[in-house]
Amino acid sequence: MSGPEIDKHILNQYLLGALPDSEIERLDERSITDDVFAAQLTDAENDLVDGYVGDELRGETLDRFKSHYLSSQTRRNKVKFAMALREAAHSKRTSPATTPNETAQTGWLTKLFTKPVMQWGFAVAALVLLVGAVLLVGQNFRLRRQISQTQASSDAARQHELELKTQIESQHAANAKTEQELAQLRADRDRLDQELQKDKGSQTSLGAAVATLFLTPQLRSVGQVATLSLVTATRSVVVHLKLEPNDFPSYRVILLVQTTHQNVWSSGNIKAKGTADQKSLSVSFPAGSLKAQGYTLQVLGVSDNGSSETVGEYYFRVMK
Amino acid sequence: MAITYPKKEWTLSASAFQRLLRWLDCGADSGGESYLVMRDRLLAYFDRKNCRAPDDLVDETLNRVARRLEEENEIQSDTPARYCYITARFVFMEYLRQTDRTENAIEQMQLVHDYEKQLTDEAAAEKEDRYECMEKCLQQLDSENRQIITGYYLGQARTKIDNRRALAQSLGITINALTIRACRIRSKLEKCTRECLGDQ
Repeated sequence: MSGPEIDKHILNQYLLGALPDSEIERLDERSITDDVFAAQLTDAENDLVDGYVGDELRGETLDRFKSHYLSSQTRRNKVKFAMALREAAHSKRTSPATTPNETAQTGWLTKLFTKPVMQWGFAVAALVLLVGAVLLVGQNFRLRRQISQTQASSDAARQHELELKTQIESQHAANAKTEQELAQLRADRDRLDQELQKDKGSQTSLGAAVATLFLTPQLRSVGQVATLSLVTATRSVVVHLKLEPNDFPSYRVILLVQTTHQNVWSSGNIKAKGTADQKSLSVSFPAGSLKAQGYTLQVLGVSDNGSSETVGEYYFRVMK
Repeated sequence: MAITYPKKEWTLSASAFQRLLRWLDCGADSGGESYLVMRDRLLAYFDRKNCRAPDDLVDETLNRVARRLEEENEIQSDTPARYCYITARFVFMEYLRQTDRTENAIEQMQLVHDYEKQLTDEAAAEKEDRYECMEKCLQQLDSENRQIITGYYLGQARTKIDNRRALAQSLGITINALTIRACRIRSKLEKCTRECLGDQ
C-alpha cells in the first residue's frame, strides 16, 4: 500500500519536527505502513544528515537540525556514521588501489588519469608545458624589450626628421629672401638700363659736341659697365654721379685709367646737389683726353678740415 | 524515571514469536526480514518522538501484537503494518502519560548542548575505531554494492545529483531503483558498523 508521493521539503520538515501535529500523525502512520514512503523517508533522512555533515544546511533548517534532530542518541550516531561514510567514500575515490569494478565504474577521464603509464605521460607533458611556458615568457620579455628599443629609435628618427625639416624650411626661407633680393636687383638694373637708354637718347640729342653719362655706384657690382660712345666731334663729356648717402660737405672727382690707375683728370672741390639721401655730383672733362678703354671715376669726400676719403668709384667704358 | 507497562507480565514465547513472523510475512517466508523491517520502522518512529528508550518501546509494541495474535490467533481488522502502528501509537501515548514532558524537554535541550560538544570532543581513538569499522564493513560488501555506496553519497548538491545519474546509467537502472538499493546498502552498512562498535 502506498499513498501520494510527499515533497522532499515536507519530509525534511517532518524529520525536523516542524510540521503540525495532525500532519505528523499522518506521516507517522505512513512511515510504518507505506513501503514506498518509508524508503523515501529513509533517503530524505540520509540526505539531510549528509547535508549537515557536508555543511550544506543553512538557516532554520540547520537550527532545527541542531535543536531537534540531534537530540537523539540514535540520530547522533547516524551523523557519526555519515561522517565516516563520507570520509570512506572520498578516500575510496582518491585511493589508487581500486577494484576492477570500481575502475569500470569511474568515468573514462578518471580511468585515463589513474593509469600509471598515463600518469607518467601526463607528468612529462606537464613538464614540457612548464618548460615551454618559461621559454615563451622569456621570449615575450625579449620581444617587449626589442619593441621598446625600436620605439626609442623610431622616436629619435622622427626627432631628427623634424630637425631636418626645420632646417630645410629655414633654408627655403633664406633662398626666398635671396630670390627676392635678386629680383629687386634685376628690377633696379632694368630701371637703370631704361634710364641709360634715355641718357643715350639725351646724349644723341645734344649732338656730338657734348657727351653725357649717368652713373650709379650699383652698376659696378652688377657687372654691366656703362658705355660712353664718342664721335670725332665730341669735345666735352658731362657725367652725373649719384652718391651713396654721406655727410661730407664737398667732394672731389678723379678720372683714372681703369687698368693703370693713371690720373687722367681731377676736379676741384665741388658741392653735391639734392638732399642728404639723394646726393649727386655733375662733372665735366674734355673728351679728347679719353681713349677707347675703361675708366674709373673716383669720388672723394672732403671734410671741412680738408681731409678726404673715397666714398665711391664709378666705371665706364669709352667706345669710339 | 522507570517506565512500566501493564501488559508486560506476558512473556514472548518461541511459538508466539514464530506466529508473529508468519503474520508479518503475510503468508510468504521472508526469513524474518519483515520483522526486522518493522522493528526498524518502529524504532525510527519512537526515535522521532524523542522517546528516551525507543528500543524498549519497540519491544513493548511487538510483544503486545504477538500477545494479541496468540490470544486471538489472527488479526483481521487491519493489515499487519497498520496494526503495528496503532499499537505503537498507544504505547507512545502511555509513555507520554508516564513521562514528565517538561522534564523531558529540558533534558533534550541539555542533550543538544552535549551533542555539540561531543562532535568536537569525540576522542581521536573513537573516531579511528569508527573509520576502521566502516572500512571493515565496506570490505564485507560485494564490489558492486561497495561502488554504489561510495558513489551514491559522493559530492554535494548538483555534483551529487550528477554523480547519481551517471552511476544509475552505468549500472543500467533508474534513479529510483538506485535510491532504493543505496538505502538498503546504507542500512546494512550502518547496522554492521554499529555491531562492530558494540553499540548494539
